[in-house]
Order: sequence, then C-alpha cells, then structure tokens
Amino acid sequence: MENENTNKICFSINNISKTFHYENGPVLDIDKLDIYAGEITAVLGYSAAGKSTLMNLLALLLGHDAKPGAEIHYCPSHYQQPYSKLSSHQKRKLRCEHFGFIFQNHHLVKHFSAYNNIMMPLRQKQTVGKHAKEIVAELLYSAGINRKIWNSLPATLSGGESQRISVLRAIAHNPKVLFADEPTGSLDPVTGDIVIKMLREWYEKDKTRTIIVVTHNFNQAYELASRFIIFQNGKIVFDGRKGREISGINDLFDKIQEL
Amino acid sequence: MKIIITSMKYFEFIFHYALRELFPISFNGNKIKSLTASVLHNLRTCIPTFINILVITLMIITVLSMWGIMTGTELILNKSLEKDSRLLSIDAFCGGTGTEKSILRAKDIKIIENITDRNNISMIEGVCGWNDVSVRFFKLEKNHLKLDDIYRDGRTVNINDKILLQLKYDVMVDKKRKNNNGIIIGRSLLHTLGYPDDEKPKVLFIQYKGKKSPLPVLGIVKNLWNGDFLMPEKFWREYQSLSWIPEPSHLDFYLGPVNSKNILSIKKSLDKVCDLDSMKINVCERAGETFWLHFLLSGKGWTEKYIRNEFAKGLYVNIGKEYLKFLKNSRIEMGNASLQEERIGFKRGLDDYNSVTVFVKNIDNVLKVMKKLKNMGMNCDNRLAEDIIWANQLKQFSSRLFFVVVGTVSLLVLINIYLSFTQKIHSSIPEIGILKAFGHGGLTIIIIQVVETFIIWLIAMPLGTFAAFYAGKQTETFIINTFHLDVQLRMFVLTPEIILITGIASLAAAGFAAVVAAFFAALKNPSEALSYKK
Repeated sequence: MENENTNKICFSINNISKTFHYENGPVLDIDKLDIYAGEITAVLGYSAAGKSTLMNLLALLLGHDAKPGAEIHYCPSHYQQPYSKLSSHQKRKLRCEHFGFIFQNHHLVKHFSAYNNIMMPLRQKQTVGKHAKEIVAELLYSAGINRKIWNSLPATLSGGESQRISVLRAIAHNPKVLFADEPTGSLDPVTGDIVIKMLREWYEKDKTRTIIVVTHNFNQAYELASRFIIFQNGKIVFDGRKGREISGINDLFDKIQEL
Repeated sequence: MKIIITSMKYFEFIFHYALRELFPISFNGNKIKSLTASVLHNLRTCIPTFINILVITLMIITVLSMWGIMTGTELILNKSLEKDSRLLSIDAFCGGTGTEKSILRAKDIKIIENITDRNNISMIEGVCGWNDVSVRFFKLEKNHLKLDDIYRDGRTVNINDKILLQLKYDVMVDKKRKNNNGIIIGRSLLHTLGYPDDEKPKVLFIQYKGKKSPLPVLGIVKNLWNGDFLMPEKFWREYQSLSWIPEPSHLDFYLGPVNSKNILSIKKSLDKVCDLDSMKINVCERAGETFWLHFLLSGKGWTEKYIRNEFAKGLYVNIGKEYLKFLKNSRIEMGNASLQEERIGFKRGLDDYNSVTVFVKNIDNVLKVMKKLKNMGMNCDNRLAEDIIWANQLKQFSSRLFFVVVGTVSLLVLINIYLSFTQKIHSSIPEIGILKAFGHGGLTIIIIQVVETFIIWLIAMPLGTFAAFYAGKQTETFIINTFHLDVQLRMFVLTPEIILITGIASLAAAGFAAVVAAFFAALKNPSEALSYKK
C-alpha cells in the first residue's frame, strides 16, 4: 500500500488542541502527529473522540487554540509558515486549489444541479469554459451517473447519488488532499462500498494524492486506508499501518475493542 | 486584460449563484408528464423567493398606499385652505379708527401691487380698490329690510378689475354682459332677502329715488362676504347721479271711475294714444258701483318717464282731467337729478378708494403683507390674522400627524424587511459554509446576498408600485364613500418623489439587512456554518 511519496510530510501537527466554548475541556489534544503525502489515512474512533475536529483543523475549516508552540504545517515546502500565520487569502487558496471535501451529509449546494455542484470548485479555481465542462462530463460518465439526473437538484436525488456527486465535486479540481468526513455514514453498505471504490480508484490514478478519511466503518476503512489513527477523548491512542502494526481486519477490530 | 477577464468570471459566478439560489429551476425529462412534474417542483422550490418578493411587495404597497393617502389628504387640506379666497385676501381700510391714511389713490394701489419678499419675489396676486356703497333692498315680496339693516354695504369695481376674475360664479345671470348696469351678489345676500337656495332671481328690487326699482342681477357668486355685493363703477356713477333709468317691469294702470256713458269715449281715446294691439283694456268693477279701466303696460319701450310725460299727457288732453285720475300706480312721483348731484356722483365713483382688497399668492405670506399694509397706514381685519394662525396650526398639525403616521408605518415596514432578509440569509448559512469550504471569501458571500436582495427588490418594486396604485385608489374610494366626502381633488397622490424615496428606503433596508446578516454569517468558520441548524 505504501509508495515512495509516503516519506513526504503532508501535514505536520505539533502541540495542537481545540476547545469549544460549550465544552469543559479540549475536544482534541495532540502533541505530535505527521500525516504523509501519497497515503490514505483513516481516522477512527467513537463519537466525540475528536476525529472530525482534527479533519476540520487540517482542512482549515476550523482554527485551533492559540497557545505557544501550537502549529500545523501543510506540506512545509509549500508555505513556509504554520496555519496560524497564514493570511485568510492563503487559507482560501489552499482550500480552493489544494483541498477537496466530502461531507457526511453530502452538503451539496441545494439550488445547484448535480452538474453545477461539480462545476463549483472548477469555477472557483478559474477553470472554466469548454475544458471545465469536459472535466465534469467525464467525471459524471466515469462514475456512471445517469444522464437524466445531471440537471437534477440535490433534493430530487437519492442519498447514494448525492454522495457520489459529492465525491465527484471533491475531486473535480484534482486536489492534492482529499478530506472525507464520514463519506459513507449515511449510506447503505452497498452504496457505501461504491463510494469507497470511487475514492480508491481516484487515489490509484495518482498515488501522490493524500486522502484523510474519518469513518466509523472499520471494514471500509481497512479496505481503503493504509494508515490508521485511533482517537479516544481527543487523544491519539493508536497509530499504525497496514502490514506493520495492523496485520488484518481483526487486528484493527481488536485495537478498537481495547478502547 | 487578465484582471478584467477574472473580474468578469467572478461576477458571472456571483450572478449565476444568486439567480440559482433565488430560482433553483431544473427541467428533467422530455415527456409532458415529467416536464409538468418538473415545473411543479420548480415552482415549489421557488416558494421561498416568492415569499420574499411577496413580503417586500406587501411592504411597498403598505408604505406607498399609506403615504399616498396621507399626502393626498394633506394636499387636499392645504389646497382647501389656500383655495379659500378669504384666507388669501386681505381687506385693508383707511379713513377709519386706527388708520393714518384717509384715502387710497391709484399710486397707493401700485405700491401695494409691488410688495415683494426678501428674495424680491412678488407676494401679491392682485389688488382691488373699493368704494363702499349702500343700497336699500326690498325683501322678497315684502317691504324694505328692517330698519337696523336697511342698507347693505357693497363695493364698486371697474369692469376690468381682477376681482371679477377671482369670483366663483354660482350663476352668471347676464352671460352676455352687454349692459353692466346691475349687481353681482353673494348667495348670502339672497338668503337675507328671503330667497330660497335654489332661486336665482334675474332682478332685485332696491329703493331708487324713493321708489321700488328693479335692478338686474348680473351674477350670483359663492365667495363674497355675507351681505356684500358688487356694482360696476359705471353703473354706480349713473345710480349716484340719478341718471339711471331702470327698465320697467310691468305697470298696472287703473283709470276711472267710468260709467256707461263715458266708457266708450275713454276707450276710444286710449286706443288713439296707445295704438297698440298688445294692450288689453279691461273694465272692472270696484266697490260695486264704479267701473274702472285696467290696462297693463310692459315692454322695453315703455319707460315710466314716457308713460308719465307722454302717454298720460295725451290722455289728459283727450279726456280731460276732471274725468280721469290714476287710481293706483306702482310708481310714485320721480324726482329730477340736478347737474350738481350728477357731478358729485361721478367724482365719488371714480378716483379714490377707501378700502382695498389685496390678494396674496401664498397663504404663508398673508401675515407679512398685512404687516406691510399696516405700515402704510391702513387697518386690516384682525379676524383674518386669527384665521391664518389657525390655518398654519392646522397645517403644522397635519404635517406632524403625517410624519408620525407615515414614519411609524415606514419604520415597522423597514423592520419587517430587515427581519425577512435576515431570515432568508440565515436559511442559507449551510450553503455559505460550503462556499467558504471551497475557498470563497466573506466579501463574495456578502456580494452574493446583496445581488440576491437587489434582484428580489427589482421584481418587488414595480409589482408593489402598481399594486399600491390600485390599493390606494380602492382605499380612496372606500374612504370617500364611507364618510360621504365631497372631495374635488385626488385623495390618493403618488408622486415620483414618494416612489423614489420608498424604493430607496426599501432597498436600503433590505440591502442593510443583507449586508449585516451576510457579514455575520461570513464571520462563521466553515465548519460552524456547515453544521448550522436552520
């Protein structure tokens, strides 16, 4: 599963915590964590363990607590500064050009058709015109989306269709990092497997891409990811890779059971 | 060039997003059934936008119709105050108590005509000098007016005087106005003389040279003070010089007594003198014994003077005085005006005035003009000043009432618009989260909301304006019918200024709400916005 890119650090996290005003203590507290490029990392744990918070912090959807030494670096060679030092323009540029997002509830723009939802990151990236249309059409065809629903609004789509559109929207602008927060959480197992397969195929096309997936589904996580980080109460309790610390799916279940 | 293209693409996205958010329309299928389903679905998805448009439209209708009615009512009030010529006409007197000036000459009239305000703009619409005249009227089918009000004061005017243009005629009796020997009276004088409301007499009877004489009525007007009347100066001169010869109406003559012996010879004599087919002579009995000849003279050629001097003379000559006398005559002996009296009459009627009516252009200037007239040595009727102060207070009250009512309604409407648009943006916060997650900035989010607001306003404004016209008209009709108002002017007035101010205010309120709500929504981090519960 590993490739030659995994030695490149994609995210470097030091002494990070996140406290919400409505919580008594931090929901996330990490001393040191590196996430490597070209790797699919699964973030696992029970509810309220801090998995989504970590993903939101990495994806610049949320800011971490300000404290001395707290730093998140993205691909250190890209920006020489930690997140806390980046301007809002730099953050937007990262989200627009480098990151892609899949949300649990698909979060499609409700008034855009399926087609226009996929077009949205391309417009934002200024990839417009014929080229953009070709990209979107190719994605829709490759994902086997019925031509009839291309112009349908999300409200008229099924959950599976919506999530597949959501995946296509996340990968349309060819991001370097894909964040997937419970991508199969609201789907039935069969549809969930289709989504996992789409992610796997996208990764296989270019293994320099990084995927960080937050999930409850350990089977799908094991099938998709090569690295597994398990959270409990905002702290990392396990960090291991397939073929090293994790020898099989049962091994992964055991680790979870130990929590 | 690149910046221009980038900007164009940026605004293309903004408009695309805004239009899609307002009208999330998509058509699926190519069969009628599926297309119909699509249309219905699209209508359903557009309901939030329709509701927003409806809210703004209703708000605009409310403000415009309210404002229009209030403006119209205020205009009617102001017009009715200004239309009342009594409030715009100052009566100034000289030669009486509290006056320094004894008489007004033509040059004084000129000075009054040229009174200006601080900006050198004329405040005077017209000036009319008066000579007060007194005429003794006969009440309808009765004798003179009672002693304490025998003489009614009227005024003489030049036939070219502007006062005649100011009059509001109820009836113009003598439309041709060839002969200006007559009187212009107010309805109130007719009431005093006992005429009912609907009667429009062609003549009034006045005492002239000690006798009851018919005086033609030239016109009956609405806007004369109680009891006042107007007489053309030319007529007044004739009247004063006793050279006026009133047209006779009907003259009844009784000759006699006659008996069966002389009746035929008298009849023959009459026929010889009168030689008129139209004259009918009747023999009537009085006191059961004596017979009299009764005949009626009428027509323009038969002046009393002629009858007295020519007809009767001939009659006496032919019949003899001892046999004949006038038993009853509606006319008593007339006198002869001397040349001296005539000259005095002409003098009095022409050159000087003892009072003046000043017509002021604007009701706000009346008090200023009154002050200037007092400075010229004249005295003005203080009741007018009191009326003007009352009118000003009424105008101020109506303006304040208008401000409070329209202001309160407008404020409530603006708050509603604000809340409506805030609500609209709150419902879009998850989408704002998506936009932010995909790299859009807060400014873009604010611009999108402003554009959406503008589009909604652009649809609502003409709809609201047209509907307000209709609603205002209906309200106007309802008010007029309910309160049985006799309104000559429009009660509902929508000026372009009102529409413009309402449009700008509603756009500003909606835009402000959009900017503020979008600003706070844009402040949320993407994660918070995405998980925002509506």
